[in-house]
Amino acid sequence: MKVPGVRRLFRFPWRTREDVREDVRSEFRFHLDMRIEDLRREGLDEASARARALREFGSERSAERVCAVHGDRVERRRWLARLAGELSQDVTFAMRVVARNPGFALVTVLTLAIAIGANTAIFAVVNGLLFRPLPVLAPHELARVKAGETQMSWLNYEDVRRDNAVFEQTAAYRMRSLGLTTAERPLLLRGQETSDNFFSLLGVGPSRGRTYGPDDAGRGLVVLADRVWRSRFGADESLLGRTLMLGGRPYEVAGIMPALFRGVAPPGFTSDFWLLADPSVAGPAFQDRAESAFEVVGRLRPNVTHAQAAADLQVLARWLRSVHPEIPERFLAVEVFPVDGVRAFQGVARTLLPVFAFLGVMTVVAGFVLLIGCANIAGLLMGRAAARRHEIAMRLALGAGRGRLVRQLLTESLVLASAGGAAGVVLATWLAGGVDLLASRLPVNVELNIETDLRVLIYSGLATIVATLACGLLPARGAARFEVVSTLKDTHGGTPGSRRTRRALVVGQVAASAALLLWSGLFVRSLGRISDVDPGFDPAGVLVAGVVLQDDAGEAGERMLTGLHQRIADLPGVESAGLARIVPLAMEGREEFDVAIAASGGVSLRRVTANRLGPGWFETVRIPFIVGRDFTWEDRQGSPNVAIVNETLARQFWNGDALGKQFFHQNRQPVDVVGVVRDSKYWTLGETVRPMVYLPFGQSPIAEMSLHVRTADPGSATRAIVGELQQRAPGVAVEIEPMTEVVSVAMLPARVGAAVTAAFGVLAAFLSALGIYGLVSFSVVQRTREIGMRKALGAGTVDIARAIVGGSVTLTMTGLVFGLGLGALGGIALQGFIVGVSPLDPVTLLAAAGVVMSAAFLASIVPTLAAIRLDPLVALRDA
Amino acid sequence: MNQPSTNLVRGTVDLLILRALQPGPAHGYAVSRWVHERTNAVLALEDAALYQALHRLEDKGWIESEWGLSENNRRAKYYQLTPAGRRQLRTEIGAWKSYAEAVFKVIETA
Repeated sequence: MKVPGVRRLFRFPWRTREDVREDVRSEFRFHLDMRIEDLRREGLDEASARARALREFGSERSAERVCAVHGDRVERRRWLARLAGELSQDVTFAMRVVARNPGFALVTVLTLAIAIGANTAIFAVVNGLLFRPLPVLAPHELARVKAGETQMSWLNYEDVRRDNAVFEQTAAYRMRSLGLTTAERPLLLRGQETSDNFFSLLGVGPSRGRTYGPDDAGRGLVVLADRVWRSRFGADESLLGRTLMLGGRPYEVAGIMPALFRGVAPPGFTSDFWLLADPSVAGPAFQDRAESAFEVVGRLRPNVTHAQAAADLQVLARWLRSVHPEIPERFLAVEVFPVDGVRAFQGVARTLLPVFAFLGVMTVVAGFVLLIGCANIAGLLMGRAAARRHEIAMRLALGAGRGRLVRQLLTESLVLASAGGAAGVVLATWLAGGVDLLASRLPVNVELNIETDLRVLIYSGLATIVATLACGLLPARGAARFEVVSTLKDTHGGTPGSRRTRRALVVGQVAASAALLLWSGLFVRSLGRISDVDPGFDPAGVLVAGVVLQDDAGEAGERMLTGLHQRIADLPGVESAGLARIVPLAMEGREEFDVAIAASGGVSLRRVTANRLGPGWFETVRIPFIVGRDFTWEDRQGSPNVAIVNETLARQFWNGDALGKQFFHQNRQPVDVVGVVRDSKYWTLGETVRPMVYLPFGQSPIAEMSLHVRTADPGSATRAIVGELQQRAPGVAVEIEPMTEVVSVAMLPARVGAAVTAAFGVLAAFLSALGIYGLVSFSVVQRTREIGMRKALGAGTVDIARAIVGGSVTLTMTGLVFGLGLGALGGIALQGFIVGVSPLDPVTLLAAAGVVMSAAFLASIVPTLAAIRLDPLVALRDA
Repeated sequence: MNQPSTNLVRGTVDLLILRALQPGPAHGYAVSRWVHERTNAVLALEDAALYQALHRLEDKGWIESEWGLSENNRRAKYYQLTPAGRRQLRTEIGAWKSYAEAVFKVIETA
């Protein structure tokens, strides 16, 4: 169908299929006419000449079809060639224009490089977290099983593995933190203990040596991660076959896995080693059906969906529970979820939620910077387009098509944006490397799979195209609407329309940078407040020694920790010491469970967070008792179960009067509350304190404990702890750090947020100052004649300054109002990250406004001075 | 009249067209006449086939076309050799010569 209007509007430069056919027909017509003419000249009459010509010609119709097919192809090629020719012409011309104004080019390219670079870097991180496929064979066929929780007991796993009908193969693994014996003190490694088919299920081979399989049953074999092999063992090839002491047991190094292999852990998580589980070892881990420790992963049979798998496993779970009544009811809630993409974070989403929220905020911030940058460049280009009006009008007058002209102007912004984009990718690689480095410094084991892959390049390409259009479309449109005659006659620059657009751009820029500055102000203020937030305990002067025992260390382990505690507590200089399972605010572990309390007319279940402690911990970290007593070494298995609770729990459960009350926990035995302590923060500084239960270490021993030591002499305490452990339990790993260091993780989001938004905010303010400067100096140039006239008529310096600055003040104020409003709205969304500051904090609002206004003021000074110094004679003569 | 095999005809037609355009641009009718006169109509070449060949050669990039005015002031499509077409002509002439020589040798000695 032909739509003439569209054709006229866009001036399609190619010929249609019908045009080509018509060409072929007219070519044939010409041939036949010529032939008939010739034959008549030879003496034939009209009719027989025509008949003969047609006979000689043959089948006109089939020839026409074949010719048209070839013709179309030729036509298309010609069109492409013409386009390429024009493009190369445009690019050459654009390069010349750009090169003629290197300062402008530099500003533009730098702006775009920063904007595109920031966006690309953030995308690279998101890409590493969400989009890069897990480095295993056919990851989409893999699925993890969640039965109530993502962990399952070994015995349940064995039954599921044997009796399910949906997985080709099923494997299990659990996290293990083990001490590696070295010449100095043991090092803590975090890895996974796996079933023998783990590697065959994933279909990944080692980079060196071999992995293990079902034939290795009962052997102590370990496979190391590439990162650990390089960092701890200097990539020593002779390590293969050697024996390492891990957690005090010998393991032979079977092989090294390739870099970035992480089993099926969600992105960001790492493992230092994989070791072969030995189910014949006595202990609850392999023999207690209630001990859920193993994650289960399977490879789905062909054409089995996740829903089908879940349905099948549900039936199996119900059957298992009917045979083994000790399985809790929640085991029946079976889900099957993928190992890739967003859903892979199941079970750890809570840990990573701040990371995602943070990335979201950064994406928005970087997007803002790109927009501001583009608005800026658009403004500059429009200014230049106005300055080039004569050139453009001349070219139009000489017959350049408007479409062609628009394309040429867009090519200019494309050249600029491409240079900016290319520089941006380089910058992004650096930035992403910085993020990677930052992540590797975190106390948590994080490995981000950041690489400038094809997806990242496509993303930055798209950002470049967006930038091209954003920068170039407005100025180009202006050029296309140009009035040739009036422009060639007129000597003043700028149509009212283009001036209006430029003003709108400046208002937008000011608004965006005001919003960014407001956010960075909020982060900075929050950073100031956060160190004032009282966590409820006092980490200063406390050493934390994390000790990881064998899971099955049992009573010997408990004796060891108790002995260590007593030995250290008796050291000179040590004020007090206490064991705790979880170091508050370290964000390394959390424990939550339901407790039952007697309520009016029955029992009510309540969720509590928990920690497990030895005697002396509260004193060590200075959490005061409201009422009651601390744990003692007499609170052990066999004696009555006791607990200490926090104020919030006491208030919520028993209206503050908790001492002597009872609750029920797991094994359905009553637990007596023997003490109430002051509230303290558990996971983050910004959190609201939740009901909390402390249980005595003696009644529920744990293999991984941290000894907290308040001491005036950290050096000797450190040496004593290391020496003591060497003696009592060689092979047990210990990590010793000041508690302030451990707790500082809680400040990380606020710190990084403050740094990044502040950097972007300042950048944005600078860019909009540049935009204001451009606009004001341009308007001075435009109004030269008017200013000269006013001066000649006796206007003073103040009048002139007011006339020039007045405009920019109006723009800035309008932008500020929009920007601060927008920023306050965004600030409400940011509330989870900013502690102790309202998003409408007047100090921050004023500060942001102040920065923007000073930037605007500074930006107007130079052009205003130029206007004031203008000689009216010169202005009136030259303008 | 006996027809030579199609392959032979097609190769020959291409060669003839390229040769016809060697002196300079010409429209389809001129090429048609040239071929008829030079071959004394031995090759009963239909004009339909000739035009298909012209367009095919243009598609291959050996010739290019442009609309112009004929000797009697009518709109006509003129074809001319491209540099690639000239090279092709040289190759085809060489190939034809050695082919013809080989065939001729066989016929002579028989």
